[in-house]
Amino acid sequence: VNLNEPSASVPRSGLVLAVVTNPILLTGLYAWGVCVAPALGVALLQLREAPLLSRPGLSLLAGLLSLVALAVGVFLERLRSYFAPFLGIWGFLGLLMVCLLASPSAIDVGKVDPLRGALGSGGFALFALAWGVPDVLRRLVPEDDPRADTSAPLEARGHLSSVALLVAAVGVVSTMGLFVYAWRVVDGPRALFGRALAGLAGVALISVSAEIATGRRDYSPPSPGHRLRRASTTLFLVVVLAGVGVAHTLLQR
Amino acid sequence: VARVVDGLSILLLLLACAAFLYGLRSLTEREDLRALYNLAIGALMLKSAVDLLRSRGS
Repeated sequence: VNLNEPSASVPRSGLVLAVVTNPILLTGLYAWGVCVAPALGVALLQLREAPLLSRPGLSLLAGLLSLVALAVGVFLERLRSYFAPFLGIWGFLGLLMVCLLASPSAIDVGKVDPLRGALGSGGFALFALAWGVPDVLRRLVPEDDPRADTSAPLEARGHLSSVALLVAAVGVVSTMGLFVYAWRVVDGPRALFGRALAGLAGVALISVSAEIATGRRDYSPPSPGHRLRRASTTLFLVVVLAGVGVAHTLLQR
Repeated sequence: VARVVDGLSILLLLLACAAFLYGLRSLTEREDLRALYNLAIGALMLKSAVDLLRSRGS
C-alpha cells in the first residue's frame, strides 16, 4: 500500500473491503453480539405477547439502530468525517444502553453470566482501543485528516523525576489491585457494586496520581500556606472521619 | 515547607490507595459498612491530595 496515495483515490471495492475488515466494526460487532444479541432474543420472545409499542419493541428497535449507528460511524470514519465519533461511539453506545435498559430481564444482576460479562468487557475494551488504532495500521494517510496538525512536533520542556514515575506507578498498581479484589466478590449485587466501585476508584486514582506526578513540576506553585488553606476543608473531614473510625474500633474492643 | 506539602500530598495519595484496597477487601468479606467507610475516607484523601497540589489559577 502506498501511504502517499490520497485516500480519496481508493477504489470503491477497496473502500468496501476496508470498511468490512475495519477493527472498529469487527470489535463493535463482537461486543454487540456478546452483550446485546441475547437481550434482543429476550425482547423478540416477549414481543410475541406484547404490542409493538412496548418496552420489548423499544429494546429491539434501539438494538437494531445501534448496529446502523456503528456501521454509519465506521463508514464516516473512513471518510474522515467530523461526525464519525458522534455516531460510531456515542450513538452506538447510547442506543445499546437504551436497548439494555428497556429489557430489564436481560440485565438482571442475578442472571448475569460471569463468562459472558468478562467476554463483553473485553469486547468493549477492544472496541475502545480500535478507535485509537494508529492510522498506519488502518492503511490511512494521517495527513489526509483535515484536523491533522502538520507543524513540527513539540519539544518536551523537561523530564519527569523518578519520584513522579513512582507516584504514577503506585496509582496504576493500586488500580490493578482494586480490580483483583473486585473480581473476588462473588455474590450478585455486591459483586456488581464492587466492580463499579473499583472502576470509579481506579479512574480517580490514576487521574490523581498522574496529576500529582506531573503537577509537582508546576512552574508557579502557590505558597504552601495557600495550598494548605485550599485543602483545609477536606483535610478536616479526613481527620474527623479517621477519628470516628479510630473511636469506633476502640469501642468495639 | 513546599516540599513537606508535596510529601503530604503524596502521602495522602498512598493512604487513599490503601483505603480503597482495604475497602474492596472488606467488600469481599461482606463487611459492607467498613467497605463504605474506607471508600469514603479514600475519596476524601484523594480530594485533599489534589487540593494540596492545584496551582493558583485552577
